[in-house]
Amino acid sequence: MKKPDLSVNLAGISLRNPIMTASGTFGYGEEFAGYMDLEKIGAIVTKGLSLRPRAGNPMPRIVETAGGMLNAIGLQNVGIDAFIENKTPFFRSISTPVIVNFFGNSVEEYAKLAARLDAVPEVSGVEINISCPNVKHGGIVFGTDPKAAFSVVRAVRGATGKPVIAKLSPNVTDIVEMALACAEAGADSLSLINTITGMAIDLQKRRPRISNVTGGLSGPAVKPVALRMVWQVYQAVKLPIIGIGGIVTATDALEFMVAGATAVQVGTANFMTPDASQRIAEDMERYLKENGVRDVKEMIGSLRV
Amino acid sequence: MTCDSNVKWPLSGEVKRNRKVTDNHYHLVLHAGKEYLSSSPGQFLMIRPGGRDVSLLGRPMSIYAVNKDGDGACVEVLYRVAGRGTGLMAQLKEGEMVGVVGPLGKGFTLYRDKKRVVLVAGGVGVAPLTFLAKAYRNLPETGSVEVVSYIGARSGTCIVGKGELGSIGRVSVSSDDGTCGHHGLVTDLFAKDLGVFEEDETAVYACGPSPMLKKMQEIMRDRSFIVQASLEERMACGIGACLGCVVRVKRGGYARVCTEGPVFNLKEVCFD
Ligand SMILES: Cc1cc2nc3c(=O)[nH]c(=O)nc-3n(C[C@H](O)[C@H](O)[C@H](O)COP(=O)(O)OP(=O)(O)OC[C@H]3O[C@@H](n4cnc5c(N)ncnc54)[C@H](O)[C@@H]3O)c2cc1C
Ligand SMILES: Cc1cc2nc3c(=O)[nH]c(=O)nc-3n(C[C@H](O)[C@H](O)[C@H](O)COP(=O)(O)O)c2cc1C
Ligand code: FES
Repeated sequence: MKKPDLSVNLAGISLRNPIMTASGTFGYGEEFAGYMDLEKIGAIVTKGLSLRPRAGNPMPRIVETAGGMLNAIGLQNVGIDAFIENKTPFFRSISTPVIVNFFGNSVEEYAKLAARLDAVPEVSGVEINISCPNVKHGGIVFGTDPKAAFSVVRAVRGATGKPVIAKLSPNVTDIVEMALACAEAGADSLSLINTITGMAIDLQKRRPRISNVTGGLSGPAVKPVALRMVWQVYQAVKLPIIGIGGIVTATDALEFMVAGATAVQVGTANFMTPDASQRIAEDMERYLKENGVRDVKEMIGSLRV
Repeated sequence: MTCDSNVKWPLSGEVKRNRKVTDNHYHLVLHAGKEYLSSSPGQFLMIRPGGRDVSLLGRPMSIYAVNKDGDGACVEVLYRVAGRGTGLMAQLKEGEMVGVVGPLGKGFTLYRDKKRVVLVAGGVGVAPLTFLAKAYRNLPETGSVEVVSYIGARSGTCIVGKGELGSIGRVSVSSDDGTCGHHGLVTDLFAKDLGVFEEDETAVYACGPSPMLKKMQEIMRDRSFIVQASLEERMACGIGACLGCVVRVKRGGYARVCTEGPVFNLKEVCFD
C-alpha cells in the first residue's frame, strides 16, 4: 500500500502529521534536538510565555502520582524579550511550525503579548493559556468563567493575524460552555485539556507533596477525562480541536482523533522518553498502513456510537 | 525503517548485572551506547525501568563508573532502594532492556593544581565521588594528589563504597547510630579535621542529601576552600525542559539542577 497521508490542516497551519508537543513539556524544542528528529513531528508548542520573566514556585514543584504526575511550576519562563532574542534563532533552523503558548494576568496583558508575537515571523500561531488568574478581578481564573474567557480570546483575536488556539481548562462544570465562548470570540481552534487540579499528601509528614499544595495533574491518569471532553466539544463546536491528555502511544493519539480531534499534543510522555512524539508519529503511520487507512483525516470524529 | 542521522542516541541500555551490595543498596551495570565514554564525574543519567507501557518518569542516577565495552560502554550505577522507581530497578534481570538518557548535566571540575582532594559523601553520594576520585588518580600529571574521603551512613550495614575509596586514599567513616566508625554526622567528622587542610591547596567535594549539604555550607561559610557539591532534586525530564528540578541560587532566581547542575559551587546555592 502507498504511504498513508498524515498531513492535517490546523486553522491554516499545515502539519506534516497530527503530532504536536504540549506546552511546558517540550521547553523551546531545542532541548530535545539531540534525542529525536524535530522534523518528524507536526508542530512544536513552546513553554507558556509572559510579558516579563517569571521565577516560578518554590520547590518541590513536581511529584509522580498513580498514572501521572502533579506539577506546580508556577509558569516560570524567560519573558517575551529574552524569548525573541534567544529562542527564535533556533526556530529558523527547523521547518516544523512553532506555536507559542502564552498567558497574562489581565486582558490587556494577553493582548499586548499577542501583538508582540504577531510581529515575530518564526511564530506560526499562538495558543492562549486561559488557565490563569485574572489579577484585576479577584484572581478568578479566566478559563473557568465564560465571560472572562470570551474577553481574553476576543482581545487576542483583535491583536494578531496569526492563527489563534484557545487552550481550555478542564476545571469547569461545563466544558462545552467554555468552548462556545472561545469560538464566539473568534478562536480558530481549541486545544484541550490543560492539567486537572489535584493534590498529593505525604502521610508520615502530613504535608503536601508539592510546595504549592495543589498542582496540575497530567499523564495517562487524565486521558479518559480528556477524551470525554474532546468528544463533547466536537459535537458542539465546528472548530478544529487539538486533543491533549495522557497521550503516550499512537493508539492514545488515534483515540483522540476518533473522538473528534484534528491533531493531538504529547505532554508528560516527553519526560518519560524524550523521543516519544517522534515515535508516536511513526507508530501512527504504521497503524494506518496496517489498517488500510489512506488518510489520517478519515479518523477525525469517526466514533461509532 | 531508516534510523535518522539527526538522532544521536539510542535511549536504552541492556542490564548486564544488578546485584545487592548492602541491606538496601544495589549495583547496576548496563551496556549502553558509546556516548557514555565521554561521561565526566558528577554527570548522571535518567533510568526508566518497567518498559514502555508502564507510566513512570525516569529516575536520576549519578554515574558511578564507565568503561569501554565492545562497541559501546559499560555504565555502572550504585543505588539505594527508596520507593517505587528504585524498587522496580531492583527487580531488573540480566538481559532486560531499560530506558536510559544520558550522560546528562554538568559534572565536577577537576583542579589539577591542588595538592589534596577531600570528598565528603552522605550515603549513596559516594557513587559520583568514587568516579571523581578515580578521575583524579588517572590524571597523569597529578599522581601525587592526596585523596581523603569521609563517608557517612545511617548505620554500619549500609555503608557503601568504602573499599574502593580506601584503595585510593585515606577513608574515615561515620554512622548515625554509631554501629560503625564515628558516632554522628559525617559533616562533624569532616569539620574536626578541617584545620589540617590548607585552604588554597585543597579542593572539597560533597554529595549527599540536602540537610548534609546545608551543614557543609555552614561549615565552609567563612573559609576560602573551593567546595563543589552535587545536588539531589526530584526530576521529570532530566534535560532542562520541565523546570521541575530547580534550586534557588544566590545570584537570584532559580537554576535547573539537571542542566545547570547537578554540580554547583556550594557557596552559590540557597537551601530554604
Ligand atoms: C543528579 C542526581 C543523582 C542521583 N544519583 C543517585 C545515585 O547515584 N544513587 C541513588 O540511589 N540515588 C540517586 N539519586 C536520588 C534518586 O534519584 C532518588 O532516590 C530516586 O529518584 C527515588 O525514586 P523512587 O521512585 O525509588 O522513590 P520515590 O517513591 O519517588 O521517593 C522516595 C523518597 O525519595 C525522595 N526522592 C525522590 N526523588 C528524589 C531525587 N531525585 N533526589 C533525592 N530524593 C528523591 C522522595 O522525596 C521520597 O522521600 C540522584 C538524584 C539526582 C537528582
Ligand atoms: C511540567 C508541566 C508544565 C506545563 N506547563 C504548561 C504551560 O506553561 N502552559 C500550558 O498551557 N500548559 C502547560 N502544561 C499542560 C500541558 O501542556 C498539557 O495540557 C497537560 O500536561 C496534559 O497533557 P499530558 O497528560 O500529555 O501531559 C504543563 C504540563 C506539565 C506536566
Ligand atoms: S528535570 Fe526537567 S528541567 Fe530539570
